Amino acid sequence: MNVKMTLNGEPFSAETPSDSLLVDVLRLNGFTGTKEGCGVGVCGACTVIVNEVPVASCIYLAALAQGQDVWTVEGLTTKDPALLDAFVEKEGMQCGICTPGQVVSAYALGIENPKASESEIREFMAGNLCRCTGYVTITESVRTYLASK
Amino acid sequence: MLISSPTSVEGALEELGNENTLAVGGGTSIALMLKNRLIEPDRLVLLNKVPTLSGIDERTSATVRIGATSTLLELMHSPLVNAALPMLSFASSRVGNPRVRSVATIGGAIIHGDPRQDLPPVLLSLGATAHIVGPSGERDVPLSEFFLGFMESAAGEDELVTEVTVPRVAGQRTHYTRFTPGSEDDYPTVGVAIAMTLDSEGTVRDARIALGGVDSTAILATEAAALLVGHRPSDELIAAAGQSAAEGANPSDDQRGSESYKRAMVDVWTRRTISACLAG
Amino acid sequence: MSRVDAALKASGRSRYVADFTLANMAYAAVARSEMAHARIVSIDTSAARGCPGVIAVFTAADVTATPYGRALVDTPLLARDKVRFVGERVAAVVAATRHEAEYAAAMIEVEYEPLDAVFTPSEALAPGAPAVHEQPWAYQGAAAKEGDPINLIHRGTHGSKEAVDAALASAAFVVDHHYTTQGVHQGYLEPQACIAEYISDEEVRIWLTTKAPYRVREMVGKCLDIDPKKIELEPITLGGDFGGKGSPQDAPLCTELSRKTGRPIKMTLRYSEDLTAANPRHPAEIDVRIGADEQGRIVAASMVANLNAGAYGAFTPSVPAPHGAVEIPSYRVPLFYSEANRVYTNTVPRGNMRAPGAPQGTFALESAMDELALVVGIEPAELRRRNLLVTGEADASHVHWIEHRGLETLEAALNAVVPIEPPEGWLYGRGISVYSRPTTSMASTSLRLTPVDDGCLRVETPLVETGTGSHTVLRQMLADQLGFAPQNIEIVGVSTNDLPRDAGAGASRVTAGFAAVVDVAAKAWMNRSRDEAIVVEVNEDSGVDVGSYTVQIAQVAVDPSTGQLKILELLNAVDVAAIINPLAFQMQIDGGATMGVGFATLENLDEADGQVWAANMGEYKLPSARDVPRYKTVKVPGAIGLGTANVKNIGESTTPPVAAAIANAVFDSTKCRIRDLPITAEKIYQALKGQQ
Repeated sequence: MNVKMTLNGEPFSAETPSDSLLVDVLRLNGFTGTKEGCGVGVCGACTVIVNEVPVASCIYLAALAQGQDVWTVEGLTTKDPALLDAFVEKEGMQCGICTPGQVVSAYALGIENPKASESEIREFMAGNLCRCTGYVTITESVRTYLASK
Repeated sequence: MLISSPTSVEGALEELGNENTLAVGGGTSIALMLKNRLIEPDRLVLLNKVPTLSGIDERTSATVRIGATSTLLELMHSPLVNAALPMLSFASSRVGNPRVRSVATIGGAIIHGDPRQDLPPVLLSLGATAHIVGPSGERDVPLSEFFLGFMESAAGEDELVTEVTVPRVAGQRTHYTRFTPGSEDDYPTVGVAIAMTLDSEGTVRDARIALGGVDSTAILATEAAALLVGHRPSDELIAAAGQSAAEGANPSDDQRGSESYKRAMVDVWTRRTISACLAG
Repeated sequence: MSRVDAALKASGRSRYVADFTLANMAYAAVARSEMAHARIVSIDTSAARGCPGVIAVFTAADVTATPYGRALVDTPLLARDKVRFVGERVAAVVAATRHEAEYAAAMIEVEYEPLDAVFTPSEALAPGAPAVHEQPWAYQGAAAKEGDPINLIHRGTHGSKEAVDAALASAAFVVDHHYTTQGVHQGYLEPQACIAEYISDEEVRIWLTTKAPYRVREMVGKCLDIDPKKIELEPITLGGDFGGKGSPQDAPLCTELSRKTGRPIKMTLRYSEDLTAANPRHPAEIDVRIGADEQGRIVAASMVANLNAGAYGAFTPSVPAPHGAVEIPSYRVPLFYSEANRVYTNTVPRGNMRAPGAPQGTFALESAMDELALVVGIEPAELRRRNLLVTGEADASHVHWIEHRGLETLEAALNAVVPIEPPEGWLYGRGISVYSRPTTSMASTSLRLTPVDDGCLRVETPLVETGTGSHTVLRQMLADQLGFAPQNIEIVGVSTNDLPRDAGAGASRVTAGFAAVVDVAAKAWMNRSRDEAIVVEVNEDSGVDVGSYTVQIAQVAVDPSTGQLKILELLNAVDVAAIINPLAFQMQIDGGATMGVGFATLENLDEADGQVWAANMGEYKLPSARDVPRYKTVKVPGAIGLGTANVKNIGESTTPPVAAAIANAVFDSTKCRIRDLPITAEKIYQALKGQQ
C-alpha cells in the first residue's frame, strides 16, 4: 500500500504493508518523536494529530490516514513554539518518553477547549500517563501553554 | 490484506460481499484485534469516505438520527445531542480518552458490542434502533434485540449499520453512572443508564434501566423498570428495583470486581441512579 | 535554569534505544512459553523458517549454554530442556523486519509435557513441592546448599528467634499479623529494548535500555565469554527505570544472535511482554510480631518474610539488605528477629523496583504499628513518638546513623495536617506511616572535564540519565563549585569506553555520588595545567551513612455502601539536607508518592496459576492525572548530608510508606483492617459487610 498524507504541513508518502499502524509508518520514516509505549491506545505516548483531533497512532490504521492532515510532535513544536516553551519552562517531564504525547495532547486541548480549568486539564490529560512526575509539572505546562493562546 | 475505500453505501455493501471482510469505522478495536492476531481478515472496508454514513440530524421532531460513523467527539459536541439526549453526550465524553473519542464511532461501539463499554447501555435505555442495510434489504433492529452475545450482534458480516435512531422524548429524565472504584480511566465495574418519564404528579410513566459490564452484553433490567411504572417511587420501591436489577445481572469475576461485588454494586447504583433521575 | 534535556525531550528529538537504526540491522522476536512449568518435548521451527523475511531461527541448542546473572547466575538465554514460567523465552527468530520476526515467532510450535508447578512461596516451601530448578545449589553464586528446601534461593536471618519469642511471651501487649502484597510492575512507559552489534570478540557495541551499563557489560561478557572491556555500552536516553532496568535484559541474547548471524540485532519488547516476562516487584508474605510494655514501648519484634522470586533468581533484590523487606530502621527495638526467604516459583522472575523490599515491608510494619497502638490504647502518632529512635541510638539491626530526625519529622507532619471534609455520606479517616532509609556514602563514578572555547566547559559522564534530572543536578553542582554559569556547561552522556567507571543509577545515591566526584573534580580543576581535559573518578565508601525520614499522613474518605476509597490528601513530611534542584526534588516526592498510591490501591499484575492476567495497560492500571490525590509537602530542613554539597536521598523516600498510611486511614474511617494489597473498594466493602 502506498500511503500519502500531509505530514507536518509537507507532502509525505510511504510504501507500507496494508495492515500497518500509523505509529510504525511514522517511526520507520524517521519521525521517532512519536513513541510507542503500551501499544493498546492507553498510555498516550504515540499521540499524533489527524485532521485537528488527537489520535492514538498505535491503534490507528495507516490506511485511515490516507489523504489526511497529520501532525507529529516534531511539526507541532516547530509550528507552535509556545507549546515547546511551556513544557521547557515548567519542566513538564522527567524521563521524557511520555512527553511527546503530552505535548501533542496539550496542543489538542488547545483546539478543543483553550479555556480549560485545572480539573478540565487533568481530565483531558488523564489519557496521557506519566510514571515519573506525579503530573503536577505537566498540568502546569499545559496551563502555561493554554494561557499563551 | 486488501483495503478498500468506497464512497457510497452501495459500494461498501459490494465490498462486504467478499469473503472474510470487515467494515472499519474508527478502527480502534479492529486495530487492536489485528495486532493481537485475534482476526486475520483478507479485506478491510474503510467507511470514512462514505458521506451518507455521517452526520447527526433530526429525522422527525421525535427522532434523532445519528450516522454510524459519527465519532464520540461529535456526539459530545453536537448541539442537537446535547439538547435532546444529554446522557448520550455525557456518556460519550466518558469513553476511553480523547484519542479514542476522536476516532471511535457510534456504529463501531454497538457492532463491537463490548459489554464493558459505555454507549451500549446508554443507547439501550434510550430505546435506540439500529438501521441495518444488507444484500437482502434494509431493516430496523431495536437495540434490545441487537446485542446477541459477547461481541456478537444482529448485523451480519455482509451487512452495514448505517445509522442509529434515538427517540426524542419530551420531559425525559436520564442519568448514566459509570462506577470506577479503581482508576477513573478504566472500564466501569458496573454501568447503569436510566431513562424515565414522570407525569406532573411524579408518577413514573415509562422507565428503562440498562446495565453495562454485568453480562455478556449490555442488558435491560426490564423487571426492575416495570416495578417503578405507575408509581411515585418510595425508598422501598427503589430498593426493590435495585434488588431486582441485581438479581437479573449475570456478572463474572475479573480485576474490576467479583461476581458478588458487581451484583451488589448493581443494586447500589441502580438505586442511586433512579434517585438521581427522580431528583431531576 | 531549566533541565539540560528539556527542549530535546519535549520536541521528540531525544534518542531512545527504540529510535536507533543501524545499517544492515535485523530484528529479533522470541517465542515465549505458554506453560508455567513443563518439559520441552520438541520444538518445531519449520513453519517459522518458511515465513517471509526470516533469516534464522534459534533454540537453546543453538546458543551458549552459559547462563547469566548478577550474584546468582541462573538465567538461560533460551529455555533449555524445560520452561519455568509463562512468558519464558523458548526460541528466537531473526528477520528483516520487526513484524516479520514477530509473525514467525508466533508460528513456532512447542510440544510440552506439563509438570506440577508452584506459584507462591508457601507452596514452593512446602515439603515435597515440585522443584523449579533440579539443582539450584549448582549455579554459580548460589547461596542455597544441597539439602535445603528445594526452592529456597536464600534465607537471611538476623537476631535470635528464641530470645524474641521469650520476650513476646511476657510482653504486656503483642500483635501478630500476616500481611501480603501483590506483584506490580515498574511501569516505565518505555518497554525494554536492545540493539547489539557483534563485530568481533574485540568489538561489541550495545544500545540497551539500562541504567547500569558497566554492570551489564560484565554480565554480558561473562555469559558470552567476551572480555567485558571490549563491550561498549553506547549512550542512550532512558525512558524510565524505577529499578527495572538494571539487569542485562535481552542484551546477552541479542549479542549472541548478532554473533551467530553477523548482523546488528534489534529487539524491542511489546509492552505486554514487559508486563508478563520482564522483572516486576516481588510479591511478599510477611508475618509481623511486635511486643510492647504497658506504656507502648517496644520490647521485641519479629518480621518473617517469604518473597516470591519467580522462576529465576538472578535479579531479585538480595534481601535482607539494610532496609529491605524485613528491617525496622526507625524504632527502638531491644530484641529483633528478622528472616527473609527468597523462593523460586513458576512465575515471572522478579527484579528491583524503587526501594526494593521496602514498600512490602513498610506496609506490614507500619500497619502492625497501628494495630499495636490499638491494643495499647494510645494514638498511632503517640505510639510512634514513644518508639522513634533518637540520635545516638542504633536501629534494630544495630546500624548507627549520624543522626535521627524522625521525631522532628513526625511533629512537622502532625502540625501541618489540616482536616479535609469528606463528601456527604462518606466516612473520614486519617492514617500515618513512617519510613526511613540511609544514603550510603558509597560513590563510584567518573567524569571528563574539557575546556572549550569562550569559557565553556564540556563535561562527559557515563551515568545514564534515568529521567530524574541527574544531569541537570550535575551541571548545577559543577557550576557552583567551579564558578561557571550553568548555561556554559554542556553535559554529555558517553559510553563505557569513554570513561572508567560508574556504579549505575540506584539506591537513591546518584546526587550523593555526583557530590563526591564533583568535590574531586573541583580540586583537580584548580590544579590543572591550562586548557587540558581532566578525568576524575571516585570509588570510595567513607563509611558514614546518613539516614532520611519520611512521615506521611493520608486523609481518606470511604463510601460505606460501595467501599470506594478517595484519597483526599497525602502529606509528605521529609527530612532534608541541602536541596540542589528544588523542582527535581519535588518531582521525586510527588512521583514517588504516586507510585506508592498505585501500589497501595490500584496496580496489580493479577497473577493466578502462574499467569499474569493484567497483561496490557488496559488491565494493568497506572494512576492517571485525575487519579492522583492532592499532595502536600513539608520539608524539615537542617539535616546533615554527604559531601561538600551536603545532600541526601529523596528518590525512594515517599513510595514505601504510602500503602500503610492509606491502610491505617481506611481503618481509622471504617474500623476495617486490610492486610492484603492492593486496597480495593471491594476489599473494604467485604470487610464492612463482615462487621455487620
